[in-house]
Amino acid sequence: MSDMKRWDDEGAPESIRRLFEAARDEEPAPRGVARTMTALGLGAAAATGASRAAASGAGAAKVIAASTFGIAMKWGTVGAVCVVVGALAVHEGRTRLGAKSAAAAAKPPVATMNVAQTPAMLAANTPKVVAPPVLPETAPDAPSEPVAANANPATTRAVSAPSGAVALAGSAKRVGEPALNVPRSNVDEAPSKSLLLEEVKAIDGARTALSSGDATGALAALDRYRATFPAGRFKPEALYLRMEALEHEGDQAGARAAAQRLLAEYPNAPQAARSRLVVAESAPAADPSKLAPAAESPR
Amino acid sequence: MSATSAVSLPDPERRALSRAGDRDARLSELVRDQYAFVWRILRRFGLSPTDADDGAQQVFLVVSRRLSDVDPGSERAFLFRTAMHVASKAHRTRRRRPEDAGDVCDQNEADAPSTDELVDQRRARELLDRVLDEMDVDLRAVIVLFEIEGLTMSEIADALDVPPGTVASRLRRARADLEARVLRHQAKTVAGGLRS
Repeated sequence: MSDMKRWDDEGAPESIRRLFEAARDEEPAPRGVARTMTALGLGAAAATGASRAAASGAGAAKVIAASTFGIAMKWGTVGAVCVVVGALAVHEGRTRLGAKSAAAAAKPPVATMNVAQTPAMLAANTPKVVAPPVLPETAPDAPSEPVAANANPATTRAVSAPSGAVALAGSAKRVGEPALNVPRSNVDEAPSKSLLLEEVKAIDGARTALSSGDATGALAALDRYRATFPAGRFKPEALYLRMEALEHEGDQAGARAAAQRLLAEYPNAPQAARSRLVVAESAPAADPSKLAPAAESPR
Repeated sequence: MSATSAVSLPDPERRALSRAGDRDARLSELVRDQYAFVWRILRRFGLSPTDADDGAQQVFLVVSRRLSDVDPGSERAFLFRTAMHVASKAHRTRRRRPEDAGDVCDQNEADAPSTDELVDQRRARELLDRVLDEMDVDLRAVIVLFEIEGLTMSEIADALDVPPGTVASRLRRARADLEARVLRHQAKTVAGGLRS
């Protein structure tokens, strides 16, 4: 069989060659790669290969920073990037971020973060949060509530601006983002960055479990996350992971509920497209496809 | 607290985080290098450009969950199988969305000002997709993978989970089938033109 050549090279008819060439020339819109990177939590760092370099360098804190950055990138907003990068930059002189916030996506903190600096930063930098809105916490699998239920404009703004996932108001104010989703109990005293990293680790734990096929473990991690951080800053991410884990376990109704809630509360989140697909797939099948025989799960 | 003594992650956690970094790096590379491949597969299996965007994202989400199952060197085979699965589900659950209307408009823009080449390419793709849609899915797969995407025979055998000889025989049948269908469509077009 190895002697078979492409039909083009074996004298395919001109009409066939034209069809093949047209198909080969078709390219997706460039935004697709970036969007997928973001949905996977890989961010712009991965798109430029920076995360690979960081991973091969493999300092533990570098990876933590990569994860933090990746989650921040999920929200795809400059605000979120500035928040994280700002938190790191403050420690190194509080002046590096300013004009560089736009470049932050291309040069993530993983490249500069020092392992030994992490806790020092966490201890030293606790920006004040000014009057953050509080999102009501409901059971993750409960039927989706209309967004209108969050009639408070400030709350609604925060919901529609998922950059609120990372709540460091100083940086958020820098780019004009609304104050962020922080528990009321943290309003008076600034949120600890160690708390932020704890949240990141909790979410990463769920993501890692799911990645390794342990949906039950992922759900348990998400339950712990919800219990530990009742007004967590990564609720959209948690909802998304719950949706995927439930689908992985074959609980289509639960996955659909999580997807609907994510869509209702965070319609602009990068995971919205995937959530819409889950909602659509869990609806009754409309037209049978001739591709049905190929529907077997990939190995 | 001194800066150097600040971090004291246990070794297992360090190793886990390092593995997570390696995993992300591999996943990133796959997205960068194979996104267009996955997207075109979805297009050739009947998804609109917009649906192919969403479908490609879903393919890589599946890959991210099952990356440890993907043997190095078999990435495109896994991606193809996953793309087939996603395309199949998309066909079953397809809903017309506003974006889809845009896709249709794009396809019908042949009357709008455009270069002849672009119009020709679009028409060629429409004809190809129409013909592929009529073909048996097994034959369609080998045409797409071998003639359009340039996979090797062994890669295709891996992707389709069939013996290599089967790939070759399917390819021969697929070529004959495709050519006959293209001729038939062209004949219809000519006949339609004569009638009008």
